[in-house]
Amino acid sequence: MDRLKKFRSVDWAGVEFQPNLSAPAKPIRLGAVLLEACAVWSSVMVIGRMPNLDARPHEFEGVSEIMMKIAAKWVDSMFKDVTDAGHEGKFDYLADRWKWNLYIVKPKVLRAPDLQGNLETIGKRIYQRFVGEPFDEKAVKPSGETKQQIPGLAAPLVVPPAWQLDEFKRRTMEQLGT
Amino acid sequence: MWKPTNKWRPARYGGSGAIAVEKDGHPEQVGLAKKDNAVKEKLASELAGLARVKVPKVEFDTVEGHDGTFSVSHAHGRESIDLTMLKDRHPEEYNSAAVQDAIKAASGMVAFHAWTKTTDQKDDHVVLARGEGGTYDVAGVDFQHSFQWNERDAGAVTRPNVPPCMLGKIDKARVEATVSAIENITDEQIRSAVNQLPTTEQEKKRLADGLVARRAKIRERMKAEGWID
Repeated sequence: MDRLKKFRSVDWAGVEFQPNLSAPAKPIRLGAVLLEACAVWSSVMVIGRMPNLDARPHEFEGVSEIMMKIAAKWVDSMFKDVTDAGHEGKFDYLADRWKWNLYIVKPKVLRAPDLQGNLETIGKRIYQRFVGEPFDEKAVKPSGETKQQIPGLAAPLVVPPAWQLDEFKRRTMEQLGT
Repeated sequence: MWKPTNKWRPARYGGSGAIAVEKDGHPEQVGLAKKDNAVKEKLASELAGLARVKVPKVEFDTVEGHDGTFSVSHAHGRESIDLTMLKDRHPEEYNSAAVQDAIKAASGMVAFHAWTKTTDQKDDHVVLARGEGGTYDVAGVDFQHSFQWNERDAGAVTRPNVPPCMLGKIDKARVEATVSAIENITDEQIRSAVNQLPTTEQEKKRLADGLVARRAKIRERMKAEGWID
């Protein structure tokens, strides 16, 4: 067990979105990609929030339909990419494909004090630190949907949540060291 | 003067000497600064303007914290989308009329690549960009493998390497328009574009003489490929 702990490492990179390259604003933080390596296995995790196509967050006003569709599926798409990549250079592979408006930032190595818990726990902690809010579906959609009363309408309008949360994890057995 | 920025990211965190930058005092302007092959990037941008094909604007400048002169390629459109990624992960969007029309409209790029002897063509080097009007267009980027001729007359104009996304979608009218535009560029315009480059007189002569000589051979090559009538 001590041997496993000794070799455990977690690298992570934040994922951001810049809505307008012609007049850039502060990027919107979406989530993170985590790579965990141990003596005999490695794991990947992609965790983040995705804008809802049917109720886009105000930060995504003016964003094109094609870009919205990319952003609305980025967690799933980026997870497929990171699992398609070879064992080496996963972050380089992601950075080569995800650039311009939706991109990963320079990866960091997690320091020992932050390595407490399993990857899911670490991922949620990283998400909260990077995005600035907890990875909590209840916080995003209190009852799945919200109802908004529009003047002149008898029935309240059902408004879907602006963000959707998602996470994917996979562990792969492999020999990383002796 | 430009300075490194965190407002967007190019590929590979500064690989090939590339740095994401914003203009000092004008944070609304962002670009990609390259030190390697800066002369080629700048010349390709200038010639593209004359040939009326879409290549992001490039300027020479310094970058805070770095020595030497960089070519700074301005961001192209409010949104830029990697075609390779779009094709793999969002094929329905890649095959949409908006994207396919934009690719077809960029057909003139094959004539431009033939003229400049740009050899490293792949989908990663064409970018789908969205303009302010909400339309899409495809721009060519990365000209580090261009202008590589040795012969006095710059040799024969051979078939350019066509990006896979354009194969089978060449629009003859667009190619004809670009060939005509290149043929209408004067010797003086070519030499003016070349003479502003920070390079040796010998290299300027090689570039200008080569571009003038190759200009007259593009139509024949495009006809041979069946890309114009």
